[in-house]
Amino acid sequence: MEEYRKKLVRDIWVARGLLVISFLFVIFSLFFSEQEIQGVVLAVVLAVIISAYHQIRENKALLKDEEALKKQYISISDERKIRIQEKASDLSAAILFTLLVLGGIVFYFINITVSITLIVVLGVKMCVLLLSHLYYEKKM
Amino acid sequence: MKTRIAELRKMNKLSQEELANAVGVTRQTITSIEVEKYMASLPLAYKIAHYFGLSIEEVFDFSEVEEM
Repeated sequence: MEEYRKKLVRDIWVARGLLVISFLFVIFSLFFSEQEIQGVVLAVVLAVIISAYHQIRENKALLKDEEALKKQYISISDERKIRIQEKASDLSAAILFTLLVLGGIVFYFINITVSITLIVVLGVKMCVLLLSHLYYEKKM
Repeated sequence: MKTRIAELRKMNKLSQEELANAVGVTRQTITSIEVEKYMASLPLAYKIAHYFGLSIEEVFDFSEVEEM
């Protein structure tokens, strides 16, 4: 639980950093840049500001309330939930792998660029899987 | 895996929520273990057994676990 408390404090500092960076970005674009921020960039900056502010408020409230902190800790460290997440990600990875293989084959006859892209994504995915497997082989 | 958790809870007049809080898991996990949908890890099995002052074998029935 102490580790989790430290993580919450660390997250508050990260969120504060993000807030500062976002505000600096907004100030820079308002006063020093010829281009105004708009559209998707503005939405992303606003989303970062809102989520960072929300994270700071939530973590501070948790750090003050011991009972809520314990509940939250149990909720994120529950072994059954972790097992469910592992199983769900295993299943989704298998489905994604199958879809990429099928997509690569089907699109070979429709659009070769899409087919190559899917095969490349499949290759990258397999490399990442192999590397993470090797990492955990050494770690455990 | 069969367990005596429900029986021990009733004997000690404990709710699932209270046991879950005591051993650091959610109520749903205790429910799943009781209805044999989820098998507790060794540390959790130890915590539950320790909470009731018993050994793991006295709480969990290992007779159905396949031997290699």
